This record gives sequence, structure tokens and C-alpha cells, in this order.
Amino acid sequence: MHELSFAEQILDAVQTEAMKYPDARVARIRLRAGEQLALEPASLTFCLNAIAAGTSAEDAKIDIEPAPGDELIIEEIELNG
Amino acid sequence: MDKTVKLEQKVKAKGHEIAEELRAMFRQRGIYVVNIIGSPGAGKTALLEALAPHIRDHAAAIEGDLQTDEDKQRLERAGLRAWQINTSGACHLDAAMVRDALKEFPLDGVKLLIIENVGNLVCPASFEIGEDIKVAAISVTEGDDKPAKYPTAIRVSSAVVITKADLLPHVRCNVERMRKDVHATVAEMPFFITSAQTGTGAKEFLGWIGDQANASGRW
Repeated sequence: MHELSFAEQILDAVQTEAMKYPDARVARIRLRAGEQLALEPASLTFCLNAIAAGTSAEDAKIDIEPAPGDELIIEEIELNG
Repeated sequence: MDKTVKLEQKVKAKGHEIAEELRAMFRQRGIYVVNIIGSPGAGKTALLEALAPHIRDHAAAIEGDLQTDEDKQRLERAGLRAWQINTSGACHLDAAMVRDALKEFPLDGVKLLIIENVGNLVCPASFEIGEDIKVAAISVTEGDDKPAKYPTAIRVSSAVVITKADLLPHVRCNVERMRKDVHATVAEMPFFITSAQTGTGAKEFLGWIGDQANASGRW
């Protein structure tokens, strides 16, 4: 269960970016997860949704694309509103 | 306004920066740090008990457990300076726990710090706690399928130590299968077969740690 510690860092980075667009809501977060991290997509999504409650990312859809390697990358975020 | 913002931003697990701070501190103080991971009951503490007579003048250990300081007491009885971290439920040590604990633990005279992680072959593999290397301890009683089933633990480790080899005549365990599966994950992985009861393999494993510490420039 190390997904939570990644989720916290993802949300931090997403919120830092989203703050540049004060009225926007985060609609989607696209991630690329290195298989060596052994992140469970369902668990990572659950953790992100749980800790994003009350933030502009609380309704964000989470897309996690598997990739080789050991890096977790936030590819892009979609904003609306 | 609908907008897509490209980020391509790398994310590290929480605690990565703290682990890097710890690494810098250990480097500055000339301390080589080994993080031992393995299942509950894999024989991690017994392995350290077997190493203790050979390393007690320059080594210390940190024991990670959910509860109790029994392992710390065992190592102290074996003559090793030892400290306990209780995670109160957490399934692994993280860098902040180690940093906070080190405020209470003087490392004077320590050249080798062995951190025995919480018994768990999954989660500790994903956390850096300031160590130079991880070592995976897997016992013959757990079954010879474990290296194949837990490749992440193998992949992040710099060596695999098979423990409880004295029990091989009594259990269904093919050590060569373990070696093959380990090497299928990491081809050149150092692989030690040990027994804390007989002392088998302890000196080879320690010699290897010394070589790693020397090669790192730490010693």
C-alpha cells in the first residue's frame, strides 16, 4: 500500500498547477506509471479520489497508462469551468 | 474555459527528499546503510544475530516493527547496539520515521548501519529510507516460489540472502529454483545461502557488504 504516498505527491503537483487557473476545476489527470513501481491502478485512483475531496480535483477522472521503467509521470491535466 | 495543461512532471513518493537528506548525512559521516527487507519470520533478526559477533565494534542496527522492542533486545543480547522504531500499524518504515528516530540515536563510531524493515515483502520495497542498498532476506520455509512471486522486492535489492538453509532437509524447497528466479529478474544478483543456526554464509555476506561499502567510497 504505497499508493497513498504517491497520491499525496500527485495531488500536490496538480493543485500547484491548477492554482494558476483560479476558477477552473480539474476534470482529468493523466498519469504514466512505470511498471517497476508496482502501483495498483485501482488503489492509486481510490487514494487520489479520497484525498482530493474538497479540492478543485475532487471530481477528476484518473487515467493511468502503464509504461516501462520506474517513473511516475503526470502527463497532463484537463481543466474546465 | 476548457483547457489541457501538459505537465510531463515526474512524481516521487512522499519522503523521497527526506531519504536524500538522510543519504547526504550518512555519506558525510562515513556510514554505510543496508536496508533489510523480507517477510515476517524470514529470519531477518536471526541473520543479524549471526552477524553481530563480527560487526559489533563498528555496526549498529535499527529494528522496525509494528509493536514491541523484542528484536532490539535480541540484538543487544547478541552484543549489537540497537534501536527500535515502532510503526504502530504501518507496514513499512519511511524516511521520516528514520529521520525522527535518529534524533534520539547517537551514531558515534558507527560505520555500518543495518536497518531491519517491518516484516513485509511488498511495501518496504517501494520506500527509500536513506539506505545505500536494500537486501532481500527470503527463508527456505517460505517456499521456493517467493522470488518469482515478489519480483519487485528482488528488483530493488542489491543482494538476496536465503535464510534457514539448515532446514533444507526438512522442507520442500528447491534453492536452485530460487536462484534461477532471482537471476531471471536480475541477472547478476549476488545470492547468498545462509543459516543463522550454523553460521553458514555469514562471513561471505559480510565480506560482500564490506566490498560494497569500499566500492561506494564510504569507507
